[in-house]
Amino acid sequence: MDLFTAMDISASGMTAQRTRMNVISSNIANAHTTRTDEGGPYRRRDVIFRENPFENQLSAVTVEGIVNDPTPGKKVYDPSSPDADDQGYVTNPNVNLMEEMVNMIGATQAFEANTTAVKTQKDMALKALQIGRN
Amino acid sequence: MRIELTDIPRLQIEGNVGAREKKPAVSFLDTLTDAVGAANSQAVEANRSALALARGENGNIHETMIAMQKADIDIRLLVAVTNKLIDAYNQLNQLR
Repeated sequence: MDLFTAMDISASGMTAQRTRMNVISSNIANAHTTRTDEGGPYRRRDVIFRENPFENQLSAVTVEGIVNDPTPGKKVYDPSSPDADDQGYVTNPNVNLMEEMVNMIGATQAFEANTTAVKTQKDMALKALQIGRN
Repeated sequence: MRIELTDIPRLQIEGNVGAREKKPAVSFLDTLTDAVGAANSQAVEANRSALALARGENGNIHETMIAMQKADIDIRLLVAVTNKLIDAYNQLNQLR
């Protein structure tokens, strides 16, 4: 229905931002994980968004996929660790907590922008219903 | 004599207009029924979504909230149309 098109698009934006938030949580939770199924430390993940044609040249957003960040992790000298290499260095995950915090604020604000859009759409619909009311 | 001549075509035109307006009266009822059905299905969808959220089957809070807002707007629209219809009926009723 045309009345709710904008709401559906905003909902897709919120779903996308929620996925982004999930990925950021995963990164923060695994900021010190040195063991994974693939071997080696946890690799930071990033979410890729893609436009999703909706109708009449409008686009919603969809999550294209979640990719690994290829940057190398920081090596820390810790010979007592069981994950240390021959030289006694442990490779930490390439997660930067500061960066994740900044991304988290970005995700929150983008989500809020979408909720504001939904609220405005509702306000507009209700204002339209007040036409002719005395 | 002149009056009769001009009156006859006018009556025919009015008859045509009356015949044309009969059909929309039925289809408006259909439209209203459809609108009630649409508003109800939005409300049912909002209800289903809220239940699914409460049961933990669907973690999308925003989708549930948006479904509820949609149902709210749809029902308000329906009430506005119904009130307008009742107003029109009352206006006709007061025609004396």
